[in-house]
Amino acid sequence: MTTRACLGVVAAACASRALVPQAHADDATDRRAASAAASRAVVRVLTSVDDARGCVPLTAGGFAIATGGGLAIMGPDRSVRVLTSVDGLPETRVHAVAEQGDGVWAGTEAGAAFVSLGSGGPVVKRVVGTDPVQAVYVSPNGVTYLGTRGAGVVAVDSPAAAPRPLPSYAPGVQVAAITEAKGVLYVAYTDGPLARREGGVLRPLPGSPVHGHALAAIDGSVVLGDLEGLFRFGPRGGFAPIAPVDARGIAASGDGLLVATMGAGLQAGSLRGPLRPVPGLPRLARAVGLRGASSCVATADGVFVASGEEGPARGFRRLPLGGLPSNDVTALAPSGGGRVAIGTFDRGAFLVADGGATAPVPAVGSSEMVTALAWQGERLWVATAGGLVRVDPDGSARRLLSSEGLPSSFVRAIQVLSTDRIIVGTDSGAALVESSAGGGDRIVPVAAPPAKGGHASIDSPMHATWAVASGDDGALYLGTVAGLYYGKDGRFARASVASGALEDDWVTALAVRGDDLFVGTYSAGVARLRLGDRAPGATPLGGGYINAAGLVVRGGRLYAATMEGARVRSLDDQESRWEVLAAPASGRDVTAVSFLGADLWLASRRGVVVVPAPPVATLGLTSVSAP
Amino acid sequence: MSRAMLWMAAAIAAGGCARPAQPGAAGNASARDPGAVARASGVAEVQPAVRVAFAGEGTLEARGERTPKTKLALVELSVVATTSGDVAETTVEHVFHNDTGERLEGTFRFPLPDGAIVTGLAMEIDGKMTEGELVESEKARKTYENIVDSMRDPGLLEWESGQTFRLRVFPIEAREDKRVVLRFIAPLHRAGDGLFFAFRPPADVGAEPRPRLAVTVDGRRVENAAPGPTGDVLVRVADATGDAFVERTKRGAYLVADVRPSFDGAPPPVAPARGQALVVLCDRSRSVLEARAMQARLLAMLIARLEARDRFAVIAGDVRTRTFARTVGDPPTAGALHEPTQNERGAAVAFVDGVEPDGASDLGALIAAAAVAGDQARAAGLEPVFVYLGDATATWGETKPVELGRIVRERLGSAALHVIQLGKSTDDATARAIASAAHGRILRPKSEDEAQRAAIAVVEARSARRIDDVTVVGPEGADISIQPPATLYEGDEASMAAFVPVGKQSAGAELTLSGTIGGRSFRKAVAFASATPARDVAKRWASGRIERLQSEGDAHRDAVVETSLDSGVMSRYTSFLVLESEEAYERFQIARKAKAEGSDDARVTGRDLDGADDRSATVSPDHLQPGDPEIRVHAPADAQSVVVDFPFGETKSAVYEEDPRGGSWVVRFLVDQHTPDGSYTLTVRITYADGRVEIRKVPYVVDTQAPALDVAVRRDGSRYRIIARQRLGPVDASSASSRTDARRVEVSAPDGQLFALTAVRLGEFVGTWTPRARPAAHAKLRVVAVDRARNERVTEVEMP
Repeated sequence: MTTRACLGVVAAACASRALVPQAHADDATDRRAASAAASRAVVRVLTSVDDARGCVPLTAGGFAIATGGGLAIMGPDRSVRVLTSVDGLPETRVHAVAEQGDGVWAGTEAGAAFVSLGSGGPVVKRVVGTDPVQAVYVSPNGVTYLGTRGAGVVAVDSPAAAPRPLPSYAPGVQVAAITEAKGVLYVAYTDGPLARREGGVLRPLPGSPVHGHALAAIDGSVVLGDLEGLFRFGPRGGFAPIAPVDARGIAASGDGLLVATMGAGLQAGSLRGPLRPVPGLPRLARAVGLRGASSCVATADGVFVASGEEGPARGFRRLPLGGLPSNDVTALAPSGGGRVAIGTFDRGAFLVADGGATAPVPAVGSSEMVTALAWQGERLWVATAGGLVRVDPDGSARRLLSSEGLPSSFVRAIQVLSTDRIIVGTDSGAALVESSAGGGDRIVPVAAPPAKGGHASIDSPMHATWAVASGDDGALYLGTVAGLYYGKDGRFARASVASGALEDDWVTALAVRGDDLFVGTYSAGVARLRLGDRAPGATPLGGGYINAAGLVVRGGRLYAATMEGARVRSLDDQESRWEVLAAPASGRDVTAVSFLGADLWLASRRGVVVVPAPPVATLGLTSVSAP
Repeated sequence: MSRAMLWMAAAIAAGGCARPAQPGAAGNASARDPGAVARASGVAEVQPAVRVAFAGEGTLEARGERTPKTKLALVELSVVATTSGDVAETTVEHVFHNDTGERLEGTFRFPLPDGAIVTGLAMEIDGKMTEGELVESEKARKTYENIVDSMRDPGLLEWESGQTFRLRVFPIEAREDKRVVLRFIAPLHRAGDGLFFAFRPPADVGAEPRPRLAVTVDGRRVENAAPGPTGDVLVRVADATGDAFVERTKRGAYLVADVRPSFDGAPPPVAPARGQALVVLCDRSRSVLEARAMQARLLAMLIARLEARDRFAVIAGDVRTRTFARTVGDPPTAGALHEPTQNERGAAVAFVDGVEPDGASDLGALIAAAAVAGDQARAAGLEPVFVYLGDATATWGETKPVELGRIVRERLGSAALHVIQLGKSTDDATARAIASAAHGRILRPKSEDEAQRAAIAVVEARSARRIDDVTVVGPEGADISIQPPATLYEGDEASMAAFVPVGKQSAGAELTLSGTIGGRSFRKAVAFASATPARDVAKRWASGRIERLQSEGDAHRDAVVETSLDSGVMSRYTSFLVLESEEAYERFQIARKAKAEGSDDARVTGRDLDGADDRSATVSPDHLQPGDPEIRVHAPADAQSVVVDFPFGETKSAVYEEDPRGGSWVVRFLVDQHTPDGSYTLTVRITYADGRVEIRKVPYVVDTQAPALDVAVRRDGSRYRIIARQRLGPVDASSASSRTDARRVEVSAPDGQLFALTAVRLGEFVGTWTPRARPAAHAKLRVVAVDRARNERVTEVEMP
């Protein structure tokens, strides 16, 4: 049970033998078998491992890094392997990591896992299902303490022992850090005061700050990192402020102190002297690890390590882990030329080429929210929260805003209608965008926009539009938060809950197949509408919570990206039901399903999984009840 | 906790600069068994006093042309508190219902907790909550009256007397609700090693239905909380924090501190060698009418606490004074001083009861009469001790607090004058002035238990150790707005507040409290650097400054107005005014500081889900379904960082985005589908360019509950009248800002017609359906309601 390094993107294909996500482990046997079959394909897992949340230098050399895109293990030889839920972790998002014996404990969003670091590569040996685990502390006496978000501290006395919760009188439940000083356990909570274990019970310490994030024991004192600053809890009680920094991670060696802060980067100093910033590191540092001369700093912009050869807290360099810029993927758009455009929730958009290299999409900011993507030949359209971006084949780009005629600058959907015409959905209605050969764009709202600051009447289609589609006859379909509007030439009818056509007016996705229009909704699944009917009759298909642009028709099947995974159903078999797509996704909340040639691409809030030419069985399994 | 400790910890609710602890503290040989006191007074147990941050609901009395003065029903009450340091900013929302058939004008009164600072007012106008503006009182009143004349929608909150504020509300429409939101800062209750948000639930008054009460503290809903022995509910918010808090702004550093001086090493308390003559001054002006029973009880308690060697005198006063002098009885008493026997006590109480509370209050005359009794005490070899029972609101003769303090010093000599404040309209500044002038304490009993403790505190004060000649010195340039009284008794907390402007700050800046204990010097320093950062410290400092300036009458009116408007803290000379629209503020030339400040707050928005433009993309500012909302934090573009901690463990750094409103720091986040409904809080840490740090709490509500409707259909000839009213769900009720959140109601009729109902007010929609043909028997209307978070519910209604 191992994977090869799922390093970043396409370049490193990950052969996975045990790729059943933990969350699915209890599902039906047939699903498991089919999933395993799918997993035997060469699966590529694309996540962001630069989204680092914790790190620790390993005894044998190298580093273990907790990231939003999995657990990254860098060996002494600098090789990097990344484990995700596809490899058996309880969840892909890893918050914390600590070394114990021949392996490491990883605290994830859905519990903790012990990962052996034997010669065969990292292997998940044990999973402890709990609330999200945000802190892991391995005591010198061999007990591992897991700090959870919501359930306090859980102790694992030995690698095989059952987990047991620690009794607590502390008001906090969201554990952020754990340490020991002189054999006494201390626990920091983000929602309560620091607690100390006395008589087997965690008890709050009077006078403590109440937004704890980090802990370390130094010279018998406990140093607490809190939103309000860095404090020293002395042997005689009381919290003495050390520095007014937002401390998120602390590492100590002797009386030396390294403090990872949000806003002031890495700070170095001691309990006796002032803290000074360590140059060359990002200002937003989440955690710091220290072992002997080796140290590491986890930041939202990657992991930085130092060997100590240049002195303490010097010579940090960024580990070239690569990967996606963000795990929070919102949109996928394969091009005819073999490229895939990927949009993210918080890090803009970028292109993945055949060779695996990524490149940012020009003119899209590195922190922008991208909602939709569409190729118009070699031209790429990018819908963002701050306008519609047109990127031409020569790399030139233009941003269209409400000041250029869009109903709103918040663009949510794109549909290409022809080589020079697209329709976009915005927060204040839909508009047609016609591009001229000279590079200009003509924007025509599909109806009169509402007055500035006002709302459209229910008869107008100019509502927040999350999905757009078109029929062969030129009809436009607008999925809005007030229902589905359909028509052409500026005249629209409405299908809604009130009309009986839908079970939810918040339309998030549309897909057309012949005379059928599939309408995905936020909370009431999919409805099939027969086009051409004067009053469209609707057949509810169910399917759960459909994500934006989350419907794809391909090969007689309807695929749905939902908040509870990817689903599929046959369109030719009227009796068919939704089935859970067995292809492994790295996150539960699947945001896009797409195909590049025969390859299946699944995007989620935890990155992208690519299943090259999946077997048919993967795409339609024995019936499983769908909600 | 032992009974003795309980007794010691039972600090009397006292405001001002010193919070007195129980007199006769540890080691005091003359301290008496509190249980005995409790027995003597008929009180089963002396309960610890609770410092409430919400003291109970307000009332709205209204009248109209045909409606006599009527107390409107309070149907909902919401309390949302956000703590910072040792105070809470509390937002209290009242929803009253006008059940009459006409439009009314009303007066809202609200019992502010002790030490509260009023910082905001909002009212619902045309279904939209509008934030009030702090305006100089005269201008506010003129504006209000101008608008009332033109039948619009203003609200005016102004100082009435003491700690009482009055809100004038107009109009209150027939059969409609009126929503009033008041915001204030109040101290948290400190007990043992914890800080508590304490509140008093609405009283069960006879047949009146209790209002729905929702209390949220730091984003957490308080559920099923049972009141303690005092009738108050205590919500633990933190372990005890430090005793000093600092807020740094562009102007400088503000510090507030509540320190309890240590008496370690001071000479032990000495039992007084001679008896005391307790001179009780009973204010019988009309303003203490409601407190007359408590005044009589206190008088009895005080006399009951005296020893046989002690004597007492009683002086009742309004615009004139009367001294209790019994010339009949057994034995008859001549002169002012009386033995503390049961008979004399009864006669003294009867004497005071016989003086009907009426007229104004001449405190100067009362003090002059007390001085005469004091002279008699000294002549008899007794130590005079004075205690005033009343609201300390001088309305006749000398009224300026500073002058009254001078009179006390001149007339009473070195004797102590304690103040027991009674009544709703107390004047803290006057109380402080006269008590400070004469080694006195200020006590504010609200219950029988607290009255017992107040009586003990006064009678035992001679035995307690104390610091005299108390002064506070700050660094150069410091403006000290809150000073402790000149005398601090053992166990008292001394409150201080200071401001040091930018340019005068130094690393070692500190406030120094000094005085003498039994002739020895005393000194305690509070360093700015070691104080805990907290919000609202500047407001607390400003409140102290306003009170100090007001204590000298109208002499500093302009300075009070300036400080008040500058800090957003209400004063005697400023009022909160709510107008119908931004245009109205502009028309009356009232600058919208509140609006600008409001935009400084961070807030969560689900963006516009229904077709408004970018500027008004706030359909669900704090009401969301799972999805991907954003938080916008209004902070300067040059801030070093804006970091947001989410309740689900994530931390994100905000990015500055320009927008038509001038830009803000934005973070977008995901509310997971499995997030339970309820209230949540984000923590925002802003690090400004100058290194100053601010922490803000931002609440939001996750709501997946579809709105429920009560639909009524009435036949009106050939048409049907449809009325839909929203019933509240639990999540709706938890949000102060979205009580009735249905925003669209559509009807599908049996004949295929589809139409939207018109919103006539929050949560109520009406419309008319004219069938194309006569509806079939048992035909049904299909009614769809959509709320602010886009939840939908279908209701089918059979035709009548």
